Amino acid sequence: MELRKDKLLMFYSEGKESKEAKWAVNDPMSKSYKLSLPSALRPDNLLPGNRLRYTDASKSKSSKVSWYKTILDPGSEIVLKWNWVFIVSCMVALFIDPLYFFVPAIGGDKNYPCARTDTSLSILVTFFRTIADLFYLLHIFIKFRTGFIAPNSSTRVFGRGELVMDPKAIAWRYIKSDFIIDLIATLPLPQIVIWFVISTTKSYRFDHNNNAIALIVLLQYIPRFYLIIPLSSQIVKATGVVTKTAWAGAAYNLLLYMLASHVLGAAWYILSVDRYTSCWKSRCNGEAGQVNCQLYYLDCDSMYDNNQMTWANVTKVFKLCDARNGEFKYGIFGNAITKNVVSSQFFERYFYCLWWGLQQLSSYGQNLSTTMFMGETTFAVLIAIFGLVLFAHLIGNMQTYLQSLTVRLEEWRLKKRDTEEWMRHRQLPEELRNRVRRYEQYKWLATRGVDEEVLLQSLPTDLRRDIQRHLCLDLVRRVPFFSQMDDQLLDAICERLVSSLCTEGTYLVREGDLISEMLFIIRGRLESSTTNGGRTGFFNSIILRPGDFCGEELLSWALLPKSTLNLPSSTRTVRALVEVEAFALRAEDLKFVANQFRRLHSKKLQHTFRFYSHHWRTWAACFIQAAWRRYKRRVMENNLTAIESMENEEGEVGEELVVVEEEECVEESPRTKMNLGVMVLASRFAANTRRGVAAQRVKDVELPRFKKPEEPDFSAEHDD
Amino acid sequence: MNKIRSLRCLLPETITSASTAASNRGSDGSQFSVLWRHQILDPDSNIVTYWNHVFLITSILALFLDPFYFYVPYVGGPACLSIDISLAATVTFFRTVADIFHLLHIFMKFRTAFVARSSRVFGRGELVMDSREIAMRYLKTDFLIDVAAMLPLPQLVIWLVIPAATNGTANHANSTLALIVLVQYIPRSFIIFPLNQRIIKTTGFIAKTAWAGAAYNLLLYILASHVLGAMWYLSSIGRQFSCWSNVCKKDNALRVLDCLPSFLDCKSLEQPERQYWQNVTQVLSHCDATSSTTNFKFGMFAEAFTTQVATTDFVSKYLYCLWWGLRNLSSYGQNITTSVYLGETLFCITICIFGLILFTLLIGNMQSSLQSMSVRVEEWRVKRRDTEEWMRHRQLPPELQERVRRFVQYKWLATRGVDEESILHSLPTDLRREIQRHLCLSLVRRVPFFSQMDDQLLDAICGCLVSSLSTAGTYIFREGDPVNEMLFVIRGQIESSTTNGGRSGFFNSTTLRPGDFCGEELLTWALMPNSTLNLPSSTRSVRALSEVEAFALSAEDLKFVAHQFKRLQSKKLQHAFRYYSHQWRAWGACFVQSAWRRYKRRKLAKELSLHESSGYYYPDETGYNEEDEETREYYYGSDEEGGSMDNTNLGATILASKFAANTRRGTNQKASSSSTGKKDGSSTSLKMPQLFKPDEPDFSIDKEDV
Repeated sequence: MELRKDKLLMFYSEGKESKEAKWAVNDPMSKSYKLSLPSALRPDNLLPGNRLRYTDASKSKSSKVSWYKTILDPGSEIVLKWNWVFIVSCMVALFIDPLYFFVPAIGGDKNYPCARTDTSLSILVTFFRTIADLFYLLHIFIKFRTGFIAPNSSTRVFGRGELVMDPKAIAWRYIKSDFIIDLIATLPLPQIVIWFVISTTKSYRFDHNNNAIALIVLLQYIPRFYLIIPLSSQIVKATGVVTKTAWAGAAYNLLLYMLASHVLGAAWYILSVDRYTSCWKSRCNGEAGQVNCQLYYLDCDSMYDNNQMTWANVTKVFKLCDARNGEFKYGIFGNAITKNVVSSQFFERYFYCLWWGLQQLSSYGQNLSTTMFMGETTFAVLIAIFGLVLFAHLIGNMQTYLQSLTVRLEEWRLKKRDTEEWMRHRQLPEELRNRVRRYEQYKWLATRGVDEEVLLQSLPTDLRRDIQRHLCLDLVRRVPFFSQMDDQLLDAICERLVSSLCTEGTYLVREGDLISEMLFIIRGRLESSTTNGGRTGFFNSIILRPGDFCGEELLSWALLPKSTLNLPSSTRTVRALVEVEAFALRAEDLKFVANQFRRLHSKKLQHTFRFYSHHWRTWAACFIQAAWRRYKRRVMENNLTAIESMENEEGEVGEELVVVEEEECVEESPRTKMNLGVMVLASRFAANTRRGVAAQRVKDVELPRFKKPEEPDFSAEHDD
Repeated sequence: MNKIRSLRCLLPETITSASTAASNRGSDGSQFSVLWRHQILDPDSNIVTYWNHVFLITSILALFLDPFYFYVPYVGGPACLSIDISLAATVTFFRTVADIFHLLHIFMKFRTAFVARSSRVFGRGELVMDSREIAMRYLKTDFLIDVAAMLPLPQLVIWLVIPAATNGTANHANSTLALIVLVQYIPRSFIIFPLNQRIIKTTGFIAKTAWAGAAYNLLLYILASHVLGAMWYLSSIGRQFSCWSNVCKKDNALRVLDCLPSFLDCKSLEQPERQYWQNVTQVLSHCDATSSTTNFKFGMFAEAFTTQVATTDFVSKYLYCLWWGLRNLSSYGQNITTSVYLGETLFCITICIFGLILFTLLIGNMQSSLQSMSVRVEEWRVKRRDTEEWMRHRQLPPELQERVRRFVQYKWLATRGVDEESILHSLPTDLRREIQRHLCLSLVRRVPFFSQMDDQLLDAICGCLVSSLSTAGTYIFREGDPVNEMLFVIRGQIESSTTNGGRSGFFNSTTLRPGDFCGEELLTWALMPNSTLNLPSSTRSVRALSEVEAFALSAEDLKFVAHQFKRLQSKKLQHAFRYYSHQWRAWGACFVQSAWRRYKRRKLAKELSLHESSGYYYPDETGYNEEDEETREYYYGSDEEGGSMDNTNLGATILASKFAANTRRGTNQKASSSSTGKKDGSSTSLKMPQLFKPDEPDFSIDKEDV
């Protein structure tokens, strides 16, 4: 291990010369390490060694060696893609192999059938199988170049574990574990047997070789099928699932079912041909007459000489082996012979056998009527067992995928039914029930049954903040109150904003209730009204639109230096006119932000708050109305004073009024210190409220006093 | 659209205090909404959801209707095909009605808004209401499939087939019609999947009840059987016709007979050339599916002719084909005996695959639906089994086990397994308050202590009240335990008793009925100016006599309400609290009894002093001293009480007189018991144990300000 660590350290220290270092790391480092030379001499040895070898080796060799010696990470993207490609090629190879069973066929005519070989089919299947074998070979090569996790308990206790990158250790581990199975699966056995068969022409060898092909393909099928199981588990271990969507999983299971039908049909076909030809052979060997029967007479490639033609005229082999009238019992293989499946074209043969396999597999072989032949009975037992296993597997997997598709919908349906049952149990009035149903419907449309809070809580802090910034920041900047803040303050506020959904007709807050959150409207409209504490004759109503906020009493409360627990009471009643989507900032979150970020205490925010606060606008409107009425009263009294100049008592009353006006002017004097920005905002405000003021009717009755709203304490010194 | 919206955000809102301006704007909005409602529809509104359901039903009916075109050809005579014109006309009529629904669907898609993708970041998203954008988006996505499904192709072929039948190409026309219906079946089936998705997206489910979902899946299964049976029938007719065609070509090749293609059409039955050909030819014997000597292999299609399906009337034919499809679909085609013909084999493979898929889907969906029906009952059953197993594991005594079972049964009756808190918590604040007001307010007003509060205070208290269930025999509080909640009795009876701190010889017991409350020490604690964390200790033991349903107000909620609402601190509430508090009543009863005993003792001493001479002067002086001490001790309390009583108004006097009337019976009983005790030992009665005056909650506002 120490030697490996030293090599790794040398490898990483010389990053730029990685190729040369890899080339040189074997010979001089190991030698120098064994000789235990002092460290000062190592660079002197390395430099001339590198130069000498660099001059000797060509560029192509160095690039090939570097590619050849690359060690792959088993969790990396390229290995995962290769696993996918390899599992697909394994499935295709499993599909190609049973096509070898269709190579033997029955030729000739009805009177004189003979056994033949479909040479074009064998060549085609061999070609495709060779391509599939190349994938297996490439798989072995990649396994020799893929690292593995060290099995020591100390490395896997925490995290993912350490990778072993030594080629020798990788090769040794692979040879000890999976190499034998991979080698058996890779061997091109059917190709060798096929090319050996083509060279021979004798019939008895032909029959023997047919059985040899079937046996070899079946034997090699087992390791090839076995390869898929650890490959699937590797994919599951790396990514969590084999298929990304549920429908792909269902299609994958159906494909396995079709593959089993394909193998079963092909096996049935070759067993039928074998039964047919074995009948011929037994009758041919047992036939004793004028002309002896040779086995090559049954081959379609025979010479057709005089002896064979004489034998064909007198023989009774084909009559005895007739599937309809003969003595031989074919059992479940009789259909293949009576319906001329074994003597049809390839596509007819293939699709009929696929249909036969599918039929028997899905009905667990209950249509089969067998003879006492042991091979046939064993085959039927295998069909029944595989049918049961595959059918149950198919239904179970389909059901699992269906449930995963509809689990969210079922949860929603259950919740809706629970709510309906609970409302009926508690005998809520119909109006309340309709409101609850409308809110549930709206919540489904907005969230589709997914709990956003739970999803966000399971992510790390940085991701959560980035996601909430993506969700909130563009919308929050639309609110003018937030546009004055900097990014850090906005990030802190975005983390604490909660989306709030209100259906039509909902009272968000009533006058006199406690305010527990501040709402910033994103979509929809709200009606905000006040009676100034229930005073008769006073009513003010405005429409809040996207970009406005309500619950601004909470900001005054949050900026108070004394942290009292009492929440402020609302001075307005807020009701949703249409469906409203808003961001809510809760009381404790607002107090936390106000305490943490001193930048919230600034005059700029104070002026923006005054400008956009409807509370302040209402007060300003009342103030202007009171000033106007005072002006009109003063003008009228001046006229009256001018008309009636002789009464002294009225003059005294006028003096008192003048004194009151002077006091109010004194109160207004601190406002003259505001800067130019405030004056611009004030003039804009005055221009916008001109229409509202003009619409007011002149009332001689004294207007009830509207209290000035409590101003939030934006000063930073007071907190200190 | 975005520019207009941004401009609106920049402009500050004007204060609309004028009523005329508000009325004008309201009327203008209503007119605009009427115009808007007629033009562009909201995809989540009720009218679009209703239309989606209607269109889904009509689409399924159209899928059911199209395979009837396959039954139009039939065997009308020996070796000839004919066309059922009445059936074709009927199916064409109904299909035209279905096509009108498809046309209306296309029109609705041009008038339905969609949610802009960029606005889906928050909430439900914003709707795009521009007609041009809606049309452009629809043309780019689903328009081609909708048009392909809407085209009246079979109608055109039918009207072309009828005049072309005179040419003798009946089979060719039939094949064309079948091919067109099959090709159009694909987009028509494809329409249902996004329609299902849209309905689920809007409402959350396809069917409201589980049984409707199961019936829907079964209906799809029967629809597949119907299509499969129709295809089998048409393929059988095709195989029969191909056999006739082969024999006809063979006759022409042998030059024995002249066989025209029109001979295979039933319209040529009366022609003499056709009759001569029919008598001489061997087509009937060669193409007879019922005969075993025929050379042509009908395979699975022979059944259509052995059972006379192809020549019988429509209703019998249709029902047999439906049965054939249902049988082979549900058994994955295992009863089919096929020939080696390639088309037949492919058809059987398709039957088997569709059978597997539909059977698996049916079982899976049925199980999901059935599971959702009984999920609450199963949860409750599992919970009860867990409870029983846990009680057995912990070896609880049988009496405790019985109490647990009784409580679990009672809780099921009260809630039916539904978690009320989670349902309420998922609703917004206003709805939650309305529901809790509906649930609590009429019951809370029955408690006299709450009737003194105003609506706003009651709303806040209703928001904090939690329902509490106790079975008979349960001790809610024990004397000396900390009080963590205040109970207001709604149903049932509670026994409240005290031994005044475990003092021997003292016992007071009352029965609390609906409208009473217990745990009133908590109110004293909540109104203290200094917020201490220690909960008060209970001075009484409270036990449930029957099953009790009450509202509980927890300690932190009570402190929150007391701090938030200054109106809780008022003299009116103080008097109501004293009047209805059983603790104060007990103290009042003890005070009255002590006063009475003091009066009787003073009277007896006075009488004795009159009759006795100067020889007994020393013992009289001792008794007088004791009496004086007791009088001084109670006089102190009496002074304080008297001082506060002087300040009360007329309402307090009325309450006091009502209080005196209610406690008259209790006083009489206590007097009789005290007289009995006096007879036993006068020394014990002389040393009467003193009940401490209960702590009074601080209702004054001035101290709070300090």
